[in-house]
Amino acid sequence: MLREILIIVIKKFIHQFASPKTYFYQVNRLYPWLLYISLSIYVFAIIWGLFFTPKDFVQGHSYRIIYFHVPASFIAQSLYAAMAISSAVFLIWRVKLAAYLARSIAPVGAMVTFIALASGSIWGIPTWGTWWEWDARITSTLILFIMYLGLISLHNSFNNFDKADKLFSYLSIIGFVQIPIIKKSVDWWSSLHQPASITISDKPSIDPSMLYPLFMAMIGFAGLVACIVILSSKVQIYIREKNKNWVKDYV
Amino acid sequence: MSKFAFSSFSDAMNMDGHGIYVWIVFALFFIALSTSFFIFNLLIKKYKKRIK
Repeated sequence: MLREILIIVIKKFIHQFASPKTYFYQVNRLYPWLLYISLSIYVFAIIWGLFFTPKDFVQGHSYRIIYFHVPASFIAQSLYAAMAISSAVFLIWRVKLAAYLARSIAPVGAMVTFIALASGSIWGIPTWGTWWEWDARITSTLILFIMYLGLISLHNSFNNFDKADKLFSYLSIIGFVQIPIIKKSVDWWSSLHQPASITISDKPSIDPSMLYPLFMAMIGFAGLVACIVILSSKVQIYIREKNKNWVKDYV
Repeated sequence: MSKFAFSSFSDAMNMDGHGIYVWIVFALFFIALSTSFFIFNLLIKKYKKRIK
């Protein structure tokens, strides 16, 4: 009995929140709060990390790029995971909002992956003496960037949104195999890239004075990226739902 | 929060010769994030105008 009630409540919640109209009005309310809070956290974390953390014994001041590079790399992979989950929700439950979200994550994911690659390359010059090396972590991240671009091109090449969404979803789920490969690349292959400094199972190998601003930078950056995804999803809603009365009324 | 890690403002900009790399990455992030916000807001305005 309790199980049935729970299923009905969950279904009702999904049904209600999965409506583009409800989503649109909810994110409109959330957006300014998320933007200003994330921006404050990010600016504070960057000032803390760039000016108030001690110099690294090995890398000197160049290690301060960590406050940009690590959040970008982490979010680039998380966005792909979010895109694959949205695609699965769309294919399993036929929730069209999930397809809109998956499509709106792709350009943001490409942008974040690009800045992760670029910041890593710039960091490589003083640290490794080269801006590029065909090493496992860098190459797998480059493949992630190409996958984002490929998925965007694929979706744009169809006139029929339904067909485009289906193919986009299948391919993004298949491409998810890349995420554990990126994560484990530094352990599986000999690599110039250092192993992960922060893991769930072990104590971080980074000093707390450098770690706290890094965590804050990751939270702030995640919030800012979420704001960009919200804007991108609003663009998708305007494109796909332009003939709906609620959109016309809102505009 | 620890104390200021540099002796002067120019020292903070220079970062023992590593400042160029750090500030280029900073500029890259600033440009990428602000451009993304700008472009998506512009697209929202464009589609809103079309619907009107």
